[in-house]
Amino acid sequence: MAKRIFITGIGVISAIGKNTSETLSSIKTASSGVGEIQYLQTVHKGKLPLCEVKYDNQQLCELANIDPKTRITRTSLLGIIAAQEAWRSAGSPVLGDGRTGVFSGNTVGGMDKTEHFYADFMQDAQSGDIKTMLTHECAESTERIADSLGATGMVSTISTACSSAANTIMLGARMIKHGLLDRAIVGGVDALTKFTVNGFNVLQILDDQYSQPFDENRRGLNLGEGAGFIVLEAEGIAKEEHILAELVGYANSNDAYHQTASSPDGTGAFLAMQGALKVAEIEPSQIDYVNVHGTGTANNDLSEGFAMQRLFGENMPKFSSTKAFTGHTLGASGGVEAVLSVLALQHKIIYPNLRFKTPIEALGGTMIPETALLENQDLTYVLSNSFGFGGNTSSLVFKAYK
Amino acid sequence: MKKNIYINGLGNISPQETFYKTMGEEVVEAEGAFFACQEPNYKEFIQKKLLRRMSRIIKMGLATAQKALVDANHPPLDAIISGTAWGCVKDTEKFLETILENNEEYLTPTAFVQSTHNTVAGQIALLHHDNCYNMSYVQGYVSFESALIDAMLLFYDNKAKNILVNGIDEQTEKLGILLERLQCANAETAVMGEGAACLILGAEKTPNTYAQLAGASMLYRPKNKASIQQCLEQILQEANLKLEDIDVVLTGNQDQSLEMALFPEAAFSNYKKLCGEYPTSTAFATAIAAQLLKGDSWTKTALGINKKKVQHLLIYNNHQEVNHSIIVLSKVAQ
Repeated sequence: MAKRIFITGIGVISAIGKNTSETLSSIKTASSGVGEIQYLQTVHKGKLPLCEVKYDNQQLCELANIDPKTRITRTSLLGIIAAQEAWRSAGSPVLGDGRTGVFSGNTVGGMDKTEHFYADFMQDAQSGDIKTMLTHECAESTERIADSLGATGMVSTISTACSSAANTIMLGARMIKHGLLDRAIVGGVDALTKFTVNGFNVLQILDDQYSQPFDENRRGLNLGEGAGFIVLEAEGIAKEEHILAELVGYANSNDAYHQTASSPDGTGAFLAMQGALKVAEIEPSQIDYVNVHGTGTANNDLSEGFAMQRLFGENMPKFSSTKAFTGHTLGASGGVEAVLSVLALQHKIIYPNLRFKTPIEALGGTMIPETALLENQDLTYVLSNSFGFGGNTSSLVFKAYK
Repeated sequence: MKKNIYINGLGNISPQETFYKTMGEEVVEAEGAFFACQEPNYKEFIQKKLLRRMSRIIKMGLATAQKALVDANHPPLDAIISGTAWGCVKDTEKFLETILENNEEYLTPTAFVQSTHNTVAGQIALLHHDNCYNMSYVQGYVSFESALIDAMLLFYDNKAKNILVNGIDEQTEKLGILLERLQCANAETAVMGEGAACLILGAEKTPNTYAQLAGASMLYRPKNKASIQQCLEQILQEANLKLEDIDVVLTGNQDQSLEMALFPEAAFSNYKKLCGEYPTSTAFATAIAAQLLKGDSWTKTALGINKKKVQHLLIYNNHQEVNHSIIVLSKVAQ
């Protein structure tokens, strides 16, 4: 019998709060994190709304308990804050025995610092603070997180666009199942950068208003930033009093349709969801709530909707996109939404899909997400979807610990 | 459950003649601080209209994937797993420069789309219409090892019969300047390289099998030499091997005291003289080690290994005492 995998800690920082309790209260009061750009230096200020974490780097240093004079990226700071919270909520286990892995997902690493350096570098190839480039690689923030926790087991970083963090959760679970690790701190982080904002903007998939996931009149996504981490522990290692939920299913697939667009029939999304249910050994009808990828782009929501209709048929479970709250946090989104999935199970709640008005016609007009906070929900299984560029699709199934 | 895993196909683009041949008759030496790849004629592998937009790393990644698949006689793939530290550097530079030059205006999406680290793994899936498991690791100098370990887990889980794994990194002129300024690259002591090496791993031996992948492990900031030794012994023990069973050590290290002390009887070669220093150089080392174990004499000569009988081979790379990589390969009886 394979070992069960328990979630014993959660930590999150995003536009709607610097920890889980702030996040939860923002959701309960329907306070979205989207707004006018305050922190990122960009010409899009005042034109494109973003979901920024509402602290500058100096303030983040204070939150992370790091000397503000340290050369550190916003990515690392966000990651350290969320991973530390997850670790503390797991009862601050000692991690130095080599049996704890740290796996983090992100898309652009330390690009927030690189783009400042590069402006100098382009003027004169010998100018600019060259040591900035030591923080550029995706792996750097993961190592900073591991070091801040004193973890000495396997450390690795995944970059599969917007499914990065979901894939680290899957990796952690598989490593624990094989007895290679007892514990894994898994999730993801991404900071907003000019690089990403302009990339998504030129792809014409950003909403210049507040996004409306799964709405007929959706116009695109709002980019966000943040980090979400969870602590996975093997059965026998996890202490009863810290168990928040169980990770029972996970799968990864590839849409193999287009570098950036999802296939019209949502093949990759369908395969990922189906695969995760198979690993969980449950039927589609047992899913109580789906935290959809639901970016708010024309393409994603349609494709994901088709895949859900194919999987669930007539018995569509309750679903919502929390990206109307947090924005699309890219490589972090699977981690942020894993934390939200665990919180939903813990607090028996289902989140509202803010700003939804009209169901998507091409989906038969029947796919209506939850629009108000639902409390006292008897939730057993929650499915969380994360899909990304390069066709990467991943799904996770969380189970209530009762 | 542990299982036998075989290397059944190879594609290898490196500074040496490793793409059309197993290894060139003459070893190519680096001139200056950088060692560039000998690239094939991509038109043989990729449609002309697609080629035009592709950066070098995408071409190298796709050509080596294609070559390895043909070499392994086109097995259906159950997973595509990529390892790259630097990612798609050229496209990243291109998009970043345009943003800064044009003050965030007049941009085109191609460079951005192709800048993501999972571009190559995604493009391989796209070209082969393959919906299978797809992953990209970006863990610096153990990106390739992360990919290998993931592949091994999939075999152990019975989730795969055939897996494509690669290690890819590209150099650019600008990256070169940065690496020189960071004192990572210089002509005398640290020639920087690049490369794309692709392996087709299989659960079954085939007539084309090169070698058996007997084990792989990575260590993060090990406390001391004893913990590295312990890891080495453990990985060998899991493969039912003893320290003295290792015939050849391919090392990536300038200081070889640790491996020399552990394997006094083994033949040693520093594989980086053939490929230079770069994060996924162990993928190159694995590819040439597989050739060597299959009996290729050119590879043996290039590595300067005189030992007649090579049964078990170990690859060890220690990056700045932070990331350690260990890979063990064994000869397969045909």
